[in-house]
This record gives sequence, C-alpha cells and structure tokens, in this order.
Amino acid sequence: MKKEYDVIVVGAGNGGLAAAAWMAKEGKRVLLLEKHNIPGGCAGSIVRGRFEFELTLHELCQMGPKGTGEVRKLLDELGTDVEWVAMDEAFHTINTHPTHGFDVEMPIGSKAFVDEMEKEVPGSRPAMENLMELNRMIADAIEWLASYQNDPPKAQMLVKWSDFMKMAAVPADEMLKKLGLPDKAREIYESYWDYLSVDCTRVSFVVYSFMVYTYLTRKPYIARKRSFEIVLALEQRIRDFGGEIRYNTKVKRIDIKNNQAKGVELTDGTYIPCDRIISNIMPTVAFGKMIDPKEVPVRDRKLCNARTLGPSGFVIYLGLDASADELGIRGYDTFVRETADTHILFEKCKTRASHRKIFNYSCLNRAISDASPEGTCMIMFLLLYTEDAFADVTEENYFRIKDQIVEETIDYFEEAAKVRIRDHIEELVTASPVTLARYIGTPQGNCYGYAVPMWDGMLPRTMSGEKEDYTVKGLRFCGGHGTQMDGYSQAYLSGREVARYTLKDMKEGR
Amino acid sequence: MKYHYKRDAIKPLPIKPFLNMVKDRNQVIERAEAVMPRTEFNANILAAKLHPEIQYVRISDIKDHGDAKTFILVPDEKRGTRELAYFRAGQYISVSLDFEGGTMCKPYAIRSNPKDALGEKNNHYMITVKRNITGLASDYMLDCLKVGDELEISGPLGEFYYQKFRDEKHVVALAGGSGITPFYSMAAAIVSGIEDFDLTILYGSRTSEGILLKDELEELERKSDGRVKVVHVLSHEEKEGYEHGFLTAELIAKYAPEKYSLFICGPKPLYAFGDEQAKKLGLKRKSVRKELPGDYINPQKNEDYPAGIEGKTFRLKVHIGGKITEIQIRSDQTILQAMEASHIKAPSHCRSGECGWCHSKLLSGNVYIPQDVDGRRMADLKFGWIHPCAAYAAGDAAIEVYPVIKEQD
Ligand SMILES: Cc1cc2nc3c(=O)[nH]c(=O)nc-3n(C[C@H](O)[C@H](O)[C@H](O)COP(=O)(O)OP(=O)(O)OC[C@H]3O[C@@H](n4cnc5c(N)ncnc54)[C@H](O)[C@@H]3O)c2cc1C
Ligand code: FES
Repeated sequence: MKKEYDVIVVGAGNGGLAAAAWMAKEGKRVLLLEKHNIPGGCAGSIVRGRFEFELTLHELCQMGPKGTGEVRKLLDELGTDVEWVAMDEAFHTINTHPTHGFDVEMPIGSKAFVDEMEKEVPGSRPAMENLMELNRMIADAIEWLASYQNDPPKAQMLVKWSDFMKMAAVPADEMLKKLGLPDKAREIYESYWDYLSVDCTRVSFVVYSFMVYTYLTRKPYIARKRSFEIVLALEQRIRDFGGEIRYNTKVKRIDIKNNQAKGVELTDGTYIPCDRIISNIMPTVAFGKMIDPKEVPVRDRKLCNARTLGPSGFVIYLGLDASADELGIRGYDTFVRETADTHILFEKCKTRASHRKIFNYSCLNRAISDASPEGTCMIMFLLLYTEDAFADVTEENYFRIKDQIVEETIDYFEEAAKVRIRDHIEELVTASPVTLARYIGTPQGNCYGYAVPMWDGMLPRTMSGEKEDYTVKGLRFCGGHGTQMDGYSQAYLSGREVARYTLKDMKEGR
Repeated sequence: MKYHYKRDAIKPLPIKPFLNMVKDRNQVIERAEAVMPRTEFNANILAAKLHPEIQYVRISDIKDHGDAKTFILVPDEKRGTRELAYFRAGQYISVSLDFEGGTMCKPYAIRSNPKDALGEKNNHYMITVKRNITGLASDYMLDCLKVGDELEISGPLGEFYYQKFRDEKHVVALAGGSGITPFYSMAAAIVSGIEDFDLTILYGSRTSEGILLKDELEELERKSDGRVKVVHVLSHEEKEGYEHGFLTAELIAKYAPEKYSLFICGPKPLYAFGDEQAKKLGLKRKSVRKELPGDYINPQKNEDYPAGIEGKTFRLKVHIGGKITEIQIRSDQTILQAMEASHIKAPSHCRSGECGWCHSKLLSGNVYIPQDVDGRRMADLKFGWIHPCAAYAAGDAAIEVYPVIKEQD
C-alpha cells in the first residue's frame, strides 16, 4: 500500500497537538486522528449559560516573556497565536489545622516570596534565601540539560552540575529538612505538591523546586480565552503547515508487526498504513488494548505494571451571581487542607471515604477580572483521587455520590475561606473520574499519566526516553504520561521532544 | 562559582544514585509482572454505561394520543445494546433518522421514569412526539414508524434537570404542548423517590380535549403525596376546574410558594414569554431554567440579520475527510439543515447551538449566527469555528465537518 503520511499522531490532546505541529513544521506529512469531536483532550472550556468555564488549566509553567521560558519558546516557535495573561501571585494556601494552621498569599518573584515567608515565619529568611539561590542553580542545570536535548556531554555535566545531580536523588521533603527550613516554611513551600501526583516525601527535590522556582521567576501564565485558545491555536498551525486532522475518528488498533509499526485501523475498519506513529494515548492503554498482545514487548508489559497510575480528578465548576469582591474570595489559585503533611494528604486521597477537606480551588476572575459578566464570578474546585476511588459506584448511586462530594466541598470551602456562596450558585457542572474516563478514555479516568515516585521521576524518565523506552520501531509516546510528567507545559515539551526523536529516528532509520 | 548557596548540606550527599537512575529504574521494571496491563476499571465501565455514543433500540410499543404518539424504546440486544443508559429526569436523547426528507438527528426528551432504565429487565425509555405543523421529521415519525422498527439513539444528554445546589426546593414548571415531556419524567422520578423536590406544573393547552398525557399526569399527581401538582391552563376554552388564558406572572404568583425556581419547556414563543414573566416576578437569573429551543426559526427578524440575503440561495462546499461535496443552501436554512437535506450525515444533538456536537471549521465565506443561540467558545470565534445547527450562510461558503465514523464489530 502507498503511504500517504510520514507520521500518524493518535490523539489531539496537548501532547499530540504539539507533536503534530512540530512534525508538520518540519515539513513532514502529518495525519492527526482524534476520537472526540473537538481537539484538546483535558484542555478546553465549557459554556454554560453566561459562563465559559476553564476545564482544567490552572497555570502554565516555564513561560515568561518572549524568548525566555522553554515552553514559551516552544509555542512561539510554532507560531501559536494566543493572548497570554501573566499572574502576579504564586499561590494562596490555607491550612485549617487547629494549632498549626496558616492562611497565606504568596507572591511572585523569589525576593518577594522570601519576604512574605519571613513575615509569616519569622527567622526563615536565611534558609529561604539559600534555597532560592539553590533553585536558581537547579533551573540553570535543567535548562542546560534541555539545551542538549537530554544527551549532554557527561564529563562537563559532572564538573558543572554535580550538586544538582546529588540533590536529584533526594526527596523534596528530606532535602528541605536538610537545608534547615523551619517546619512552617517548608509546609508552605510544599503547598504545590498536588500538581505533581506524589507527595513531597517521594518526589525529587530538584523536580519539585524547579517547578516552584520557574513559577516564581517566569510567572504562572494562562490564556485569555481559556486553554481552548491554545488548543485551537495549535490546531490552526497544524493546518497552516499542511497537516491533516480528523475528528470523530477513533483508532481501534495500532498495527505492529515484528516489532515495527505498520499503521492504524479505525473503528469503522479503515486501515491507514504508516511506519511512524506517535501515540498521545498512554502506553498502558495502547499496549493494553490497542496492540496485538503478541506484539507487546515484555519490557512494556513490565513497565506498565511497575508504574502506578496517576491520580484522577473530581472537578466542580461554579458560576456565581455575585462578584469575587462581593463574596470576598481572595487569590487566584488556592490550596485548602487541614494538615500540611503531604504524605498524610496523599494517603487520604486514596478513597472517597478518607478524602476529606483537601482540594484546590481557583477563581478565574482573580486573574482575568472580566472572565465572566459583571457581577458574577467563576470558581473551579479540583479534588484528586490517587487510587480507584470510584470502584464501588453504580449507575444508580452515581448522581447521589457526586452531589455528596459537591456538598462536602462547598461546606469546607465556606468554612476555610470564610465566604458564603451557597445562595449564589447559578451554574454548576461537575466532572468525575467517570466523566474523565468518558472523554479521555484513560484507566480510572486518570488525568495525570503515571505517578512520579523517585524511581520513575522526570530525570530517570528523560534519560530513558530516547533509547531505553523506545521498544517498538516507529512507535513513540507523548503527553502528560511522558518523560516531562503531567501538566500542560510538560505535555507540550513532551510532544516536541518526541517529535524530535521521531525526526531523528527517520533520519537514522532506527 | 557563580552561585552563593551553602554547600554543607549537599557535600555529604552521594552522586551515585543519580548516575544509577536509569539502571535502577530498569531494575524496578525488570521485577514487575509481565502480564498484560489492566485498562478497564469501574470508572471506565460506568462511563461506557452512562454515556454510550450510540444506543441501538427497537420500538416495542406505540401509544396513540391523537396528534401525538408515545414510542416505547427497548434495547436491541441483536445489535449490541444490552441495557439503556440511566439518566437525569429532564434529559433528552437524539434520534437518528434517515428518510426521504433527509438524514438527521432530532432531540426528544426522555419522557419516562429514570427508574425504568435501570436494571436488566424491562429496561425502556419512552419518548412522546407531537405533530409539528412545519416539521418533516415529526410527520415521518408519526406516520411511518411502527412497532418492531429499529432506531439509533444517542446517550442521555442535556442540562435541563433539577440541581439541588442551584435550584430552590420547589420548582414551578411552565409547560406548553410537547414541553410537558421532561416534567412528566421529573414527576415520575419524584414519585419514585429518585428526585427530591416539589413540582408545580402550570401546563398550557388549547382546549381540555387536547391535553397531552392528562390521565397519566393525574395518576402521578395522586401518587405523589402532594409533591407534584398539575394546573391545567387552557388558552382557547373556558371551563370549570381549569385556569384560563396564558402562563402569566399572575398565575405563577397564585400557585408558587415564596421561594421557587422556574423551569420552562414548550414552543419557542413560550421562552420569551416566560422570561418576561420571570422579570415581572423579580426572579434572579439563577432561578430560571429553560429547555433548549431546538431548530432556529425566522433569523430574518433579527436586527443584526445581514442585509440583502433574504430569499437567496448560495453554494456551500462541504469538506469531509479530504473530499468535497457542493450543495445548495437557502438563506432560511441552517447550515445543518442544508446538509441534512442533501443527506450528508453531519453530527448534531441539541440543534440549539449549545452542545457543540456539530462543531465545524468554517474554511471560507461568511455566516450569520443569531446571538441568542451562539453557544460557541471564545476561541471558536477567534479561529473560525461554527455550530452549523445555529448558523446560516450569508453568501457562498465552505466548511469542514466531521461525521462520526461508525463502529464495526
Ligand atoms: C432538548 C429537546 C427536547 C425535545 N423533546 C421533545 C419531546 O419530548 N417531544 C416532542 O414532540 N418534541 C420534542 N422536542 C422537539 C423536537 O425535537 C422537534 O419537535 C422535532 O425536531 C421536530 O422535527 P421536525 O422536523 O418535525 O420539525 P422542526 O425541527 O421544528 O423543523 C421545522 C422546520 O420548519 C422551519 N420552520 C418552523 N417554523 C417556521 C416558520 N414559522 N417559518 C419558517 N420556517 C419555519 C424550521 O426552521 C425547521 O426547518 C425537543 C426538542 C429539544 C431541543
Ligand atoms: S447540535 Fe448542539 S450545538 Fe449544534
């Protein structure tokens, strides 16, 4: 059969879009296939009444003004037309513990951050300043590594970045203690852990700190017209570069023969031959049900089984008929919990019964004041479930269980944030793990790819990406389950990384 | 050194763990089981049950109500549907139809009790279809469909249902004609204890003779322990025991408790009328919920309607998977309707510009989109995406559409 395409990208989520755009920009004939009727996967927005809710994006990292952060550079290089909004706050964190609680709004900028911490935790300044200086080095090291596309000269690396290498193998919590941060300062600093899918006792210090630091120095970013603006901007570029996109088109099978990609088969039986496939679908699903079991390499079965699925989410979107000022909602992005111990929190997130009083909420109007009509505002709550928390739910009790979660969330929100929203709910939308399973098709409805404990963190994954994890010729994976870990920015980086590897594969015939 | 951090906590740390990262990772992988990874969990199974893309059904029975019929739909195991999806009372399904008049999907409220979609036995939905003077599809359904016929329907859709955190505990419904259907389902759900709110239905009909589902509603009212109340309002007849006139603010005030939400479903004029009444009553926006209006009519009456296109016919190029079909489109047809008339199987569900299922790319040309049904996202406007069910051609145009590719078993 004649091959019409150089590469087929399966799935138009953030990672698939970036990979397809990058391949098309490099002049390759690209076919992008998406099962849903619109692109974006987890990214997007939803219109209800007079509100347009952001589906998932809290903030992009590694952005910054033109020509600075890695993700900003990537999106600019692709020519994506997006109106960016930079935020001036890092996060708002509320801990309602009766004796060790706090309620702090942390600003952007490492100096302002240290100053605010000193106010909240007197005496923390020296340790915090030292930490920020370390973070500066860590950020430089990671950018240096990226500049070599993850294949740096080893000797130089040892000379230049040995401190970085040493700390890379230490969990965040442990390293912060070694660095002498006062407990409360450490707890505030660790507020961000939710975004990384494992708690601070099990995530690499450099990975955690890199994330916090890039937010502080490059600022968190969002798109004015919700994340769907980024999605459609990337989609447009794929078209402009000559790529082809099909929606409502589900790939049933990825055809592998003798350890070599051959093509894809659609659910209607159509077969499209192609020997380069980039899967935006996570390996567990691709290997678990889209590839002939005989062709699934032992290593991939083992890798999928060795890993822990990332968390799934329960999201509540509220459109309120009063403004954020009227209601007294502070801060754009807020973490709420009743203890600061991230390990305890992680354990509590395993089941519905134990999942109490832990979530993040964001009020978009605090970043974009006219995000909804005058006299209204929007809030999005995100609860994470780190295990199969919906295992016992049935058709019959599903709606009731969702209501119960909403009830508890609003109750705790009103108590912790000291605001009253109940009488102002004009629109309410929920997305449960079941909703996610429906839209993105992941096991358990997980939306964070794979958990990133030390052994499978960003660094070991990145170092294994090009070769170790490339087991089937012509088949590569990109997305939030990729080397860069979960998240928007990470998925874009992963898309570009995999596109680059694929270009190299083509050139070298590997 | 260009960095000024203290090294004492770092110096004693070994560098080996970093150098061994890949090796250690490989070891963890090596120790894992080599069975096929698990992909299906309860959330996945439940997602497939609650949100099937297609449900294959058979018409097991038809009840005649004069100018309307109730179709009982049961799962068609032969074609792979074993049970119907559970739903929220008030939701609708979209029914695929393919007949001389076109290839299309039409939305109908699921009129039955959600309870009847549960379990494995006697699983069914009911839809009640009323004749629509201008409509092709309703004529086809009423005149041609018979017991035993096979249909393809969507999963349950729509947001027109009771939401306890938003709505008041008491709902006053304004129903007109076939607009009674979602409220019938809500009433049935209240009687079965599935929904927990009080419902007063102000139900407008022309005469007492023609009241759709009158007896069935009375029975629900009787069984409801006072939680469901139906008030018949006749527009063309004065009769003892009935209210007379329209569903006005005065009438609402007469039957409503102090706090309530207003739900509206009926013919298009009822929505504008209902809005006016809500305003008179000083109801907040959050207390007024309206069912989707369906196919748009009379765009030429809008102030922003483009000049000079009324009564014209244009050429529309429809791109599907690289192939281009050229069709004619009248200025009073939505882009979706023009495609349907040409038997192009374009996706649609709500036909009201709201659900986004018909999302298509405008490649060239101008379109007119009435503001009141412009349910697009901001980014859609920026990048030229439209909802063909709520868009008119304002000249020759080209669009790309994405028919759902079918499952082959
Ligand atoms: C969410 C939802 C739930 C629904 N539930 C039910 C239900 O339970 N039972 C039920 O019976 N119906 C229900 N409906 C309505 C049902 O979908 C329509 O009645 C059905 O689509 C009728 O199809 P039709 O082709 O017969 O008529 P229509 O779709 O109404 O087609 C009429 C055509 O005539 C044109 N037209 C109409 N009036 C004029 C005019 N004055 N001037 C010029 N052109 C005109 C329209 O543009 C359109 O092209 C529901 C609709 C929605 C949106
Ligand atoms: S069919 Fe729902 S928006 Fe067009």
